[in-house]
Amino acid sequence: MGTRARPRSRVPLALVPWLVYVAVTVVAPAANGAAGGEGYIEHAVITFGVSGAILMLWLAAGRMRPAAGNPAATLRGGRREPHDRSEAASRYVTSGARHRS
Amino acid sequence: MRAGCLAVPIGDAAVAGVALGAAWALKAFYSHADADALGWILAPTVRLVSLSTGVAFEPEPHQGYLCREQMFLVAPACAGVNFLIVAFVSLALGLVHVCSSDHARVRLLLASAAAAYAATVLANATRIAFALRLHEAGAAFGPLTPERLHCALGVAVYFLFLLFLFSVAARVTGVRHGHAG
Repeated sequence: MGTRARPRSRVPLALVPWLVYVAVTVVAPAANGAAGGEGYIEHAVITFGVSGAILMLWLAAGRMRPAAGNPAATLRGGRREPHDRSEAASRYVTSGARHRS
Repeated sequence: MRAGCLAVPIGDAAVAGVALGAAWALKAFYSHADADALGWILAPTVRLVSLSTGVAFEPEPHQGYLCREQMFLVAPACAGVNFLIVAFVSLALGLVHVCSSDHARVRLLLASAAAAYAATVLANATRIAFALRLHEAGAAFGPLTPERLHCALGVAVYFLFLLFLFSVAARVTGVRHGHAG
């Protein structure tokens, strides 16, 4: 399967399944007139609460793990700063060396 | 509009259109389907539940699968079709940006459909197995009535499976092609 490099984004990819989940299980029924039905509010609160809590835990766990070079890091909300910082540091050293010479 | 800022490749938009169209069609079918029409997803799920728990289910025409021992019915509403839609659309929309050719996009759609079906059967069987135990125990904790616990358990199991499925799919796509992102 041909692929292209992913654009660097700080938005965690894990938001995609969460948004789709909420759209299909909460928003779509409401759009079809279920919002006034018995138990809908309860269902929506439980869905938002449980899925939101799991998502937060998932993202927090992703941020605690080292992210460099890991393609799933963005999915888990992992940061790329350590990798970026080391790149920046190497650029700084190189430019500094050039300056001195 | 600057190129590469807000522009969405037409191939990606086509994948989104196909995924959302398939989701809409499946949702429309599901809203009118009885247990017989949903046999393609209910039957393997119930078989997996029976294998993992040892509980026997009998098919009830048009109603679903009934466990007479515990009076527990796996009805069409328990088929997991909403999860199937969520898993398929999440994979297709969430991973389409790594595809660079039309061929790759078609393969992504097919792989997403297959992975979503397998994940649905597994997630739903797990959910029903836990729900059977809850039903048997008649568990309730203050405001968490058995119905609310059943609902919360379903959301937790489905959403965890969804995150794992998406994580594995992202990892497989990235590792295979060596993109660190």
